[in-house]
Amino acid sequence: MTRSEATPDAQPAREFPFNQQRILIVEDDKAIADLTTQLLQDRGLQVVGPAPTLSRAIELIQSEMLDGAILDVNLGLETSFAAAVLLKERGIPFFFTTAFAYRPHPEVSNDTCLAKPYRARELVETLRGVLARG
Amino acid sequence: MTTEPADDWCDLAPCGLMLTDSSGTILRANAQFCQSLGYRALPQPGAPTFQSLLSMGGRMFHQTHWQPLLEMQSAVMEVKFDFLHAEGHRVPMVINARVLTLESGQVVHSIAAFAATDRDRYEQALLKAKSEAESLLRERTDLEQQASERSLFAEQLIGIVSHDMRNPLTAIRMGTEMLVMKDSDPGQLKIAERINQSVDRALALIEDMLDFTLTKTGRSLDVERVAIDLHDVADAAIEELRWSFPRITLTHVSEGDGLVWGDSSRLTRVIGNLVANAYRYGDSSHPVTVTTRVHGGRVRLDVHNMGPPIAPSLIPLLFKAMSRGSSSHGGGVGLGLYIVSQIAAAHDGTPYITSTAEDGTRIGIEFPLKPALPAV
Repeated sequence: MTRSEATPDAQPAREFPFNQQRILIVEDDKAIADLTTQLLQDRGLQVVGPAPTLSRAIELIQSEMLDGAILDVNLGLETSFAAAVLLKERGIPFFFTTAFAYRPHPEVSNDTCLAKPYRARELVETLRGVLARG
Repeated sequence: MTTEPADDWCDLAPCGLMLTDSSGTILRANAQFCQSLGYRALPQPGAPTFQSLLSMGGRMFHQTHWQPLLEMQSAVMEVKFDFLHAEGHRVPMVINARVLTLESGQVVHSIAAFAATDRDRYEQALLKAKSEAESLLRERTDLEQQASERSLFAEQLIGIVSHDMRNPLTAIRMGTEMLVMKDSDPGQLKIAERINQSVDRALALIEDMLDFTLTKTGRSLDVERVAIDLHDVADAAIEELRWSFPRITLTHVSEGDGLVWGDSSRLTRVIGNLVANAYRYGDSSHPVTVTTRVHGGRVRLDVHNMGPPIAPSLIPLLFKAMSRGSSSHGGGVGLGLYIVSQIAAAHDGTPYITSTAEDGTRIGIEFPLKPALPAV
């Protein structure tokens, strides 16, 4: 998990267009979930969720058409890793967000991970990069 | 063979003397012996034997040790017995005894008794002191245990608070940015910038608090020294800091080859803490300069700013936790420079500081290029 991964600066990623892609938000903090929803909708994306729990996230992954996902690692006492496994199986691009900035989760070492508190622009650009890589 | 001792001579002796037969029946006792135990004369109907004069514990010892010892070595030396005074209280005495055969052929025990009150008192005091020391040790161990539990609790608490604080900080940062996304009003942008700086300060404080708790509970900071390019690390850190401090001019001066063995995230913290410090206490109309210098096996990483000099009396305190340059500046509880010094120490190095009105203030750390032991 490095910042260069979190902030892709490759030109193709910057140009990757947002066009009503369906993005699942898994986040148990209501304020962040609401702000992220608004931010993505403002950028021309459709929001699925937000899912505040792992079970709701899995339900949505199984029932909805998704183009990408943003997973907060810690959801109260559970983590979103099981949702990540499911997304990988289905080939849906995603990235993690975490508040444990200095205690990286070994489970996510190979996945893009954005440390909280991130900037709105960082979140958008990270999502763009993940979608561009497909 | 020994002659029978004369009574008058025995009565003058400064110790108790007694003669018993081999079963302990008292044959004679001198005045000193009788007086020590509150008797006018011995034997008495209630006190016919040596062992009848002893306390319960003394009698047991007499039975189990005295007799066998006398049989084996014909003498016992300096054995302490608790005798019972005629009035019932305990009288500790030290006993020497020998087995003798009189001219008549009778086997007798010749016993000398020395009052052991002082010695007993001394021994009791020793025992008491020992028990007090043991109880103090227990108390100290308990206190240490409690302190260790408290520090573990503090660490866990700060860990939880640190994690939970990041969520509201994320919302504040995102929300502020979204408010001004389509706004070009300089006043609004300035407010947004102030809010973002406050978020950065809160975040830096959380990180410092975590590390402070760690080092104050007797552990050292986690530092992983690997080969890095310090100049690149500083460039990346400065790039990041320009977001947080858009109103100061941040420049980077690099000297020498940047290859050093260091922990890049910790060294980034050093730059962050020092730049925050320069911003807070320095004159922000002048540039703030980060210098990375690798020369002669030594590494120097410092931050320079112009502005009012730090009072010489304050300089020795700056790297201690909870000290602050000047209360008039407000902000910060003084953990930032303490963490810098801890990171320096974890790199086998030291912090340094120079501050004058003409040349401004330079604070940084110096450490050897490589760890003392080869990096694994």
